[in-house]
Amino acid sequence: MLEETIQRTKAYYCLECGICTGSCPVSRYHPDFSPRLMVERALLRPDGPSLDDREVWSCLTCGTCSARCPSLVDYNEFTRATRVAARAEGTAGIDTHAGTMIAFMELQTNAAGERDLSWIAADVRTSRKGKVLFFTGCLPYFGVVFRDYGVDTVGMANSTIRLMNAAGVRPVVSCGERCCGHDPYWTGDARTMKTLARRNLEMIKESGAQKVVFACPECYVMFKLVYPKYFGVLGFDVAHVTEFLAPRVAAGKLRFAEREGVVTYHDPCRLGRYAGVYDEPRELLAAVPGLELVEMPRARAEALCCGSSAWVSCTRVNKQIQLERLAEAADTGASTLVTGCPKCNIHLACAAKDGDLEKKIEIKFVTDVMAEALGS
Amino acid sequence: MAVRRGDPNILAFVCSWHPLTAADNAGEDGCRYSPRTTIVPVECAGRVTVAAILRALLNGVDGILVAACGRGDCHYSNGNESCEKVVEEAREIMRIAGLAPERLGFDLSSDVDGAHFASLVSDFAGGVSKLNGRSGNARAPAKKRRAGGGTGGKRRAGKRTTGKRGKAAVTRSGAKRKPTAKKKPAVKRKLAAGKKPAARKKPAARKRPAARKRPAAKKRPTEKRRVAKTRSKSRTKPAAKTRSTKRASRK
Repeated sequence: MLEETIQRTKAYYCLECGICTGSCPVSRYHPDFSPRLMVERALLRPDGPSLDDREVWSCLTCGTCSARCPSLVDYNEFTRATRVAARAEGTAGIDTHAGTMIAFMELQTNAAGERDLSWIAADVRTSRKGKVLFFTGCLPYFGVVFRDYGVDTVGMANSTIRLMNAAGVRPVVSCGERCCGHDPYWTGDARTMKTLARRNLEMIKESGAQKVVFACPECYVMFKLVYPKYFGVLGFDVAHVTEFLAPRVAAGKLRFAEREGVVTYHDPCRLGRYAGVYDEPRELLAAVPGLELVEMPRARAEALCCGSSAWVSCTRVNKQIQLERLAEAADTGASTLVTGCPKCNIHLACAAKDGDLEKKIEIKFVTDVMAEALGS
Repeated sequence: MAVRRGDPNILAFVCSWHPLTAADNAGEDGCRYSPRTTIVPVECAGRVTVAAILRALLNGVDGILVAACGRGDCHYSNGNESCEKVVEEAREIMRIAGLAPERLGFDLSSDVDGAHFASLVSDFAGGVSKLNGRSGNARAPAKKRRAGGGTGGKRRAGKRTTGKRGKAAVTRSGAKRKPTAKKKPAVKRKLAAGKKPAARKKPAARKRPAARKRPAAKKRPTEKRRVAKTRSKSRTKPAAKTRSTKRASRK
């Protein structure tokens, strides 16, 4: 198992240079956690890394280390494989939000029925059959849990469909949809992910959609990079909403009213380092007349993670990372921090609430900003 | 596995203060309620999480009942109110997931009357079995089963489901048979043994209600049990001295 992981992630190429630990946002605040040491332990100890080590669950899988590694060691995959092994041993990380998130994701493997679609706003148009399907992901669920945090994820889903409508597309929104399985997958539970994935792929096949559009980069990356590994060629195109809209905006299909303000854009790990989508969200923001986009010092592939992932292990360390990112955003002079991922939005909004930074900088999802600017 | 086909599988998270006392009283009084009810005592209803509720559903439970103390009666100030929030959140998540929110029952009550608990469970089980699209519930419990429901093993109960009861299960009448006043003396005697027949009355706020029966796990034995323990101890270890006697002898 360990041998296979080392082979697959090319961990044996490790030069012990320490770039990974130097780049790691977690190591910065939590010296006990070191990607380099994790790899070294796996290579040197015959029994592999200690699986009941709490640090197995500290990694954010943000991909900064892998992006900078001169030996191209896939540390994210290494972490995931370690978590699979740890899970097999009966250990697990500490779920955030009292386990609610992972519980409702697991619930969708078999117990859940047809998903309720009453969250769709009255003014947005969807269709039963069509070539384009909008994959909502967990946004309606998050809407319930994060209401008190001032994050309206249902609004994000609605604004995404609104923009698609403005581009002349009435997407299919299916009640047969399930969670994409991203969080179970990254916490080492590939079985749950596979069950969910099978159901999603069946649903999409039945709908006959040829293009699936995502608001959440995590769902997008699962469909783009992970599902094909397990299920082969999917038979349909996938696109993040920013990728879907950018060419249509460039073609003049969408028009935006003038908006005053300075914004900065936060690159989500999944959309940026994983999927390589950096320009499209920026093109969209640039299409709004009057809106000025300023960049943070750490942007694109160098972007700092939002500080939390897969609803596991959220500690003081994670909060520090989030506050660091918020301070970086505020220093640019922007009044709004635009994110390309609803989860980044949730995590940063949570930190802003705790750090009393809500008045300093507003955090908004990209489609919310764009839908507000739609010329009416 | 089923006690009777159509009986919904109910998991009840019961606060250890008022509601669990009511459940105990229901057992002692031989009140009848849905036999496939598994009671999970929790120290306070505030301990119940959304995840626990959803995981129960994932594991095939038909309905979940959460019983908390009445408003203003929570021993831990606001456990019942935070439980109310949890239940609301779980219901909303269930609705989105396409599960009927009615599968999650919630009761805020400080009534320690056994009949209250029995009717609470029966009414809830009736609603759940309707959701299951099966015939009505709230029939008389299985013969040898503890009337108090309890956490009795499903398999044992299942083995007893033969003959008559099996037939009764497929009746499509849906009519609820009201729990009859007829009691089972044998069961009653067994349950009542070793307990003082405390008067059943509403306890004052912030006071543990009528200490008639305590779950063993709580390690708060009744007066009688405690006496029995010390007796047996003295029998096996006659020379053993308690701390206080030791201290006294040293003096």
